[in-house]
Amino acid sequence: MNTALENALSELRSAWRFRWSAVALAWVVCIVGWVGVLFIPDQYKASARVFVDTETALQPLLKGLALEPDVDNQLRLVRQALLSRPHLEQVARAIDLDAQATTPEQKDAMIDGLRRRIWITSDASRGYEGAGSLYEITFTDTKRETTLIVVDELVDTFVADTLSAKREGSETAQRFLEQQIADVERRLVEAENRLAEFKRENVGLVPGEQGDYFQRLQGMMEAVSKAEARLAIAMRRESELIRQLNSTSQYLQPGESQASVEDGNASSRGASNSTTAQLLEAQALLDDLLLRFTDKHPVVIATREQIDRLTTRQKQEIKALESGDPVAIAAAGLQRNPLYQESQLALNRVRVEIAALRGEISDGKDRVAELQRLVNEAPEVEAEFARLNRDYDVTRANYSQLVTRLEKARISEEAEETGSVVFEVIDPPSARFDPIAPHRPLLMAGVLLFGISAGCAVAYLRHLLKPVFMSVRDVRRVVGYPVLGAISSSWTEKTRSVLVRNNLALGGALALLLAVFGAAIVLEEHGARLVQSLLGASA
Amino acid sequence: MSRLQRALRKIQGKPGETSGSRVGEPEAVKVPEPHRRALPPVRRPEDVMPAVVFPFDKMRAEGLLGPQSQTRMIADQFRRIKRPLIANIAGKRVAKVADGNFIMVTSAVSGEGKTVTSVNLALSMSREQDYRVVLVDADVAKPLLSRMLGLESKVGLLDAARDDQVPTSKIIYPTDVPGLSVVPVGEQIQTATELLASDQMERVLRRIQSEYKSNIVVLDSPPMLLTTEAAALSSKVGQIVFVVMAEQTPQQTVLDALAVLDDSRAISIVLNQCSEADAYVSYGYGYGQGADDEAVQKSMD
Repeated sequence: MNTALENALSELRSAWRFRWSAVALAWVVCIVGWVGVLFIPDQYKASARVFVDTETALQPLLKGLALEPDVDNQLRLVRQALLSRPHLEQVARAIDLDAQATTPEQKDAMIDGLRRRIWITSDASRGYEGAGSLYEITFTDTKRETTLIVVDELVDTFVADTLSAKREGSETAQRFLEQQIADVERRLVEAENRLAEFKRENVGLVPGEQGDYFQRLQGMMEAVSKAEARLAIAMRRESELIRQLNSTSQYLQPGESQASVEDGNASSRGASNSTTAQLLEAQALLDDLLLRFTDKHPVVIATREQIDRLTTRQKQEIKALESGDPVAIAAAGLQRNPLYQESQLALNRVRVEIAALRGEISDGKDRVAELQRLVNEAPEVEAEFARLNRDYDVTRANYSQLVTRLEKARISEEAEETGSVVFEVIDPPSARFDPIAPHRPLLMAGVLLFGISAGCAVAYLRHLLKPVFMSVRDVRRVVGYPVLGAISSSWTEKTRSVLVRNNLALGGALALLLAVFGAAIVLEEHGARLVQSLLGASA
Repeated sequence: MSRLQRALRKIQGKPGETSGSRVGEPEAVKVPEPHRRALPPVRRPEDVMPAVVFPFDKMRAEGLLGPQSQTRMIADQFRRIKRPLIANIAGKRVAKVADGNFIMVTSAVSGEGKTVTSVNLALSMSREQDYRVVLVDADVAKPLLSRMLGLESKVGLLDAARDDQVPTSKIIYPTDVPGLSVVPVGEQIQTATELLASDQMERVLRRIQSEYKSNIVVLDSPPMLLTTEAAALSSKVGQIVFVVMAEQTPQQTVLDALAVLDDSRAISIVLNQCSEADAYVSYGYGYGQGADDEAVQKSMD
């Protein structure tokens, strides 16, 4: 730390050697700088403020349709429109600037220069709520009159432009709306088509009057179980009827009424009456013969044969009857049993019912299976259906909204043509009488500082270029030989007085510099005017 | 010291009475030289030559000596400066330097304080008990020393160098400072600078030194960069004290001058007119010249 301080002090002392060149340079720089500052021309500024309700034309139309006009965009458009080439050429003519520009490049340069000096800013939030922006137009120049002329021109142009722009804007908005409507219409049709197609593809699954899907499935399952119950009942009835039929003879016995049908010997009775009668006769005869004769009697044998024959015939007849042979039945001359017939009919009916129920059940089970299968699909389908419906509804709502807007726009446009434009010049073009720039005293102070620093820098630089030995440390650092020691400086009266004189002179030079600086600041206005008039006279 | 000097001056006012006062008044003689061994009076230069009055006030006025207020400080500084030089001569704790008795005081350019340094160094060394100093003004271009002492017209170094007949005793002038004698520059001639480099010069210098065994010859030489002869002179001495004026001489100039010197000698630097604080910065006595001594011996053989 100490060494650093020593080093710094050593450097300062070595730069001190060249203090006079530092002072001289400071003087030169300051004088030149101050005169130069006087030469800088004054800048005047004119500005005007204009309030334009540009958004009344646009905003309501576009509200809610996700196209908010960007304030910055508006400003950019305004600036582009206002600072276009034809406008600027007009401005240049107004201030006689174009007299100097002959070649196209010069003209371009002039226009560019103008453009750079014109400032248009917008302040959309200043005190006015909602629609409208405040635009400020400023222009800087060396002549005050010029600034006023330019700003005046620009304001006039602005007014004219904005009015036409507004009209254009409303037309643009309407065109935009119409385009939007066409778009939405198209989308509406598409949505409708999609909905119809969907309904077509998912027939039966679309939840309609049948109600909710799960309800349907449950209904079906209930129906199936009901049918199965009915089937069980029918089958019981069937078996009951079969049993009944089995126990009832098909045919009535001759002479027998219906009431005596319920006898187990229906089958034997079912045989033909004649054969049975003959058999009985034969058997009776046989009994008789046997009373009188033996088995060997030919009559007895013949009777026995007859009996056998009759028995066989009986059996055959019974068989035929049992098999339902109508000839046999007719031959037997039996009467159908009405009870039997009734039971038979009932049985047939039950059987038909069973078949129908079975069919119903299997059908129903199929339906249930299908409904189960569609468990995953149906909700999605329902959701998809709901979505499509919603899309369609939204699009339709949009469409109707747009149509309403368009109507409103048409109406408002007509209303505007009667003259309800909002445009106001808040501040007319005005310019201060004082120049806004440059701030000469400040610049001069800057020059003074710069001059002094330049002087110091030069002194230090000279020291660096031709270094000397300030201390024993320097000697040891630079020279390889050992140092015996140092002899301190001896101040004789002569040298001391010389030094004092020297320092006084230095101080005097610096003080004089500061005095000149003070004078310069005090007189800067006059000086500047003098210089400007000289320049003006020579230009 | 000044009181004694004043006393001496009073006593030794007239040149002719020197020897008499010496012999006749032992107190006056013994006071300034309390520790010197007594020598046969005939052989002492003071018998032959009148003592030169050392113009202290004039020198102070001219700036060769520091102002009264700084006398002690400067004396301290020179005491420090002379120590290593004497150590080199005596060979105490360092290797003995060949021809160490011959000390040349020079610088890069003129105006750096060679004469100041040589005068002060000679004065300081003259107080050494074991040595006696002969201060030789070899600055043929600007013989400030001779002028200061009022000896510029007297017979001096150049005369002896030119003419072998001039006895050495004739050119050595004693002063009223005990232990200090002066050799003025002598008559300036055209070939003065060439004479500096000649062998005759070397012989003269050796004769000067051998007048007394423990004589230290301090040479106030011309600046190095002025003539090449000064560089030649540097090879005739054993030790070189290079004076650098602080805050003035550019570093490069100093380095150029040092390059010219014969670096087989024991070269050391003295920084002149250094601002006070720096003067008390510690510095070492390191020499590193011991290694060069062998080279010196070889070159001398």
